[in-house]
Amino acid sequence: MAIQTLLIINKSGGLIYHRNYAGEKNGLNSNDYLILASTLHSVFAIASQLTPQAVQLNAKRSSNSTDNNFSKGGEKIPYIPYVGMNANDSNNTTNKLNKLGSFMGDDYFKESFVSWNKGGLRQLSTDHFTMFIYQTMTGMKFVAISSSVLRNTADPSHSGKSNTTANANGIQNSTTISYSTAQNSSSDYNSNSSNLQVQIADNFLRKIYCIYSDYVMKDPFYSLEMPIKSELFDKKVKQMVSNLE
Amino acid sequence: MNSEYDYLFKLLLIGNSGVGKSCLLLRFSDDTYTNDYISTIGVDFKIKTVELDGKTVKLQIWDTAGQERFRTITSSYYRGSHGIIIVYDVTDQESFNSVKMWLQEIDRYATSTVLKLLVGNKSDMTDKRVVEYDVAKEFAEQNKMPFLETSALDSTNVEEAFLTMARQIKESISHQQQIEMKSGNDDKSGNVNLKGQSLAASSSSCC
Repeated sequence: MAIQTLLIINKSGGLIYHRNYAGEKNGLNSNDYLILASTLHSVFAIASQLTPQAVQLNAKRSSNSTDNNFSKGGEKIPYIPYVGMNANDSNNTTNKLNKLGSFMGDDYFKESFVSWNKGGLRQLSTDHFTMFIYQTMTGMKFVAISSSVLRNTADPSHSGKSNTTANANGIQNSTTISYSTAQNSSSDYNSNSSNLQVQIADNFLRKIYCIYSDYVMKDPFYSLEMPIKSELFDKKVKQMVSNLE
Repeated sequence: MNSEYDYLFKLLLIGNSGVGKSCLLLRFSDDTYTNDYISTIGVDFKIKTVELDGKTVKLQIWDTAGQERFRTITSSYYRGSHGIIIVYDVTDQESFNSVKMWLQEIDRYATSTVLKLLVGNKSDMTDKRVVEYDVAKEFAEQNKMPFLETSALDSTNVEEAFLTMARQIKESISHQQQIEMKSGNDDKSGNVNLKGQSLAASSSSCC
């Protein structure tokens, strides 16, 4: 899953960070990206109003029954080890401790987590790209645009044709399967590959959020809700994106 | 890329349907005018880059739909906005009466520190005017907000309306930063003082 573009949208819908990793020019200037981000923010707001209450309640109930530690509800995302981490480094853990900022250990987190994106847009698939959105508890949105295309193999009427589907959160998670590794080759891999992609993306974007909290929030010269101009943050994010390829 | 600008301000345009919010914005951002009426659906965005005190500022203006049926979505746009411009039509008494309602909406959804500005649009239509300047001016003073009359048609005061607001936001942001910087050695700022010396001074004052 190669990341083409990364966007960070603040809680009021303003674009505060954007990077293209694909290299090629796509003709969009900074104003276009601002409009794109805010439109996405407003589509997100509309989507959360469209999501049926029943789906939202169902997601809450299913997470409560599996784990009592998460009293707030929301879907639980399984932890996928070493998403976006350097594969060579994962073996020698000793010299990695200092590399993660305030996060100790060889990965940023090691437990499953609750998705705060309860009713909004989570994934947008087209024939050319897939977009993943991770929302934090405070309402920030981390958006990754990936070049990998998801094909809905379970439904032959869609394959080949141009299918633009927006999966609202919760609709596809009636059967949540915990994958222990990213390379799972069980029989239901195909039908749930889009679900797995979302989980990988959520794990990845949550790590970007970890980097953000370390290198942007702790920068004394950063003013809240304003564009991010941290070289360290830039460097760390770029590294994580290139590790993912 | 991000480094192109230093600040990103979110401005919100609200007001009844048909008062000329979109036209005002079109005049400000593109310096054009159209007589056609096209209802805004949900929200529309325009961005203008301005220079303030040597800093590049992007004003992102959220032009909301005035129609009642979009109201449930518009409420979510108030969040985190730096400035809100309430627009009414000087030839439409009803749109001026609604300003009170819009102020209530701001109280409900926006942060309390948000900057407000009242704008009476269509000031060029002198023969059809029903809302007098003095009445609106008095109302604005009562509610402690600046007031301007504009015309998107002949572009009177349009630049002023937006730039006044941008300057105020910029000031309030740098003012906040100054307070934060001063708080280390200023007792009056209301922040917790961690210096030992001032603690001794305050204990002596109470004796």
